Amino acid sequence: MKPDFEELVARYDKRLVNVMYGLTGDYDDALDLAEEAFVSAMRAYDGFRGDADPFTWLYRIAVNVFKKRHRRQARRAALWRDHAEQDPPPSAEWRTPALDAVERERAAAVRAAVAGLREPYREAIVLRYMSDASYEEIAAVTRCSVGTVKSRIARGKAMLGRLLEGKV
Amino acid sequence: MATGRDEQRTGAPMGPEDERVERLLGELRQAELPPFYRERLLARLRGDAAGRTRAGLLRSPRLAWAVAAVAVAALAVVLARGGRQAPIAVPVAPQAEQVAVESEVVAPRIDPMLPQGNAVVGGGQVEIVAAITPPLEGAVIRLLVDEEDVTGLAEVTADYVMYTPGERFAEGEHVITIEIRDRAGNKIRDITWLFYTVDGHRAPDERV
Repeated sequence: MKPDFEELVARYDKRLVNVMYGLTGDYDDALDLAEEAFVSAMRAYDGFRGDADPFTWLYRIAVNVFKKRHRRQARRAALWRDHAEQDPPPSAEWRTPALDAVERERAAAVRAAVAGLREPYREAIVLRYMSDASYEEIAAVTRCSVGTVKSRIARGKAMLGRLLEGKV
Repeated sequence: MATGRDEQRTGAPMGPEDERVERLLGELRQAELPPFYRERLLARLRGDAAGRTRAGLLRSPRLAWAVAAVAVAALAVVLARGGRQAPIAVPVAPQAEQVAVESEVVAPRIDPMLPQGNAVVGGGQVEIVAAITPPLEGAVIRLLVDEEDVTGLAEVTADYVMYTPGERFAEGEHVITIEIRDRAGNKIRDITWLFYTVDGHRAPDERV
């Protein structure tokens, strides 16, 4: 049976925010994206039959919202390129639990490196390590085989190792 | 021998580099949601759902047919009564001051929809929506926010009041009042409710 939509929000809001945080590397963006995703999902909820895992369904909507936002930002960035002044980027880590400075710096570097991975690797790494999803769940969400998921995670980690070399 | 998450699952041994990355990823903590994030999100979802229901009703062909049917029936009753009591209707120029809406109006209900009473929302996230049922024609509706009349900036119709402030609200308690008067200034219905704003969260529209 399909759960009530508000129940879905209560069950998955934190998980979705964390996945979006992993994809974007920016906490404020993650909050906004998760919120937009829930609004879109609610509008589409009548069409959700309930036979798929709700998080898989929500995640796909959230990724679409994220891609749309990303395209819009890319267009905006192109428009802004000629302007000298831009707002400084918002701090991504200030609201995380009290970490000491070193941990915070290291976490920010890791998140930035994850956000810098190419999409399929980033998606697999984020779902695995920031959403605690199983290989099977990641395969269902990303619509590929379990073997591909394992390969992407292994390659993603190798890329992260190179990106983080000398930084942490 | 390392016992990372992937090694445990796949049985494949991990190299030192893999182990390091695995450890760094494992150190990332789950970010907590900001205070009242869920409450604010649910309030937004409820407001969105209510808006869609209202828009759907306004577009509904069934409702249009029902309204037409009621209008035809009412006209038939008026004509029938007129036929018995006043065969010749003399048009009279209406005088605004003498239109006694109060006596003809059933006192409507005003339902605060956004923010809900005592809700806690982000300072840049405030949207005020109230529904009036049944829809009320010919009355004067005023919206006051923190005792300031913002009716001119709000969207006021016979069945709802909607207002999105142009500025961020200061943190703290806020009061919304909706007053409904007839054209002679007589009170039909007043309602007041409170909500609270917190800082520390940026509104999505402020990011653009």
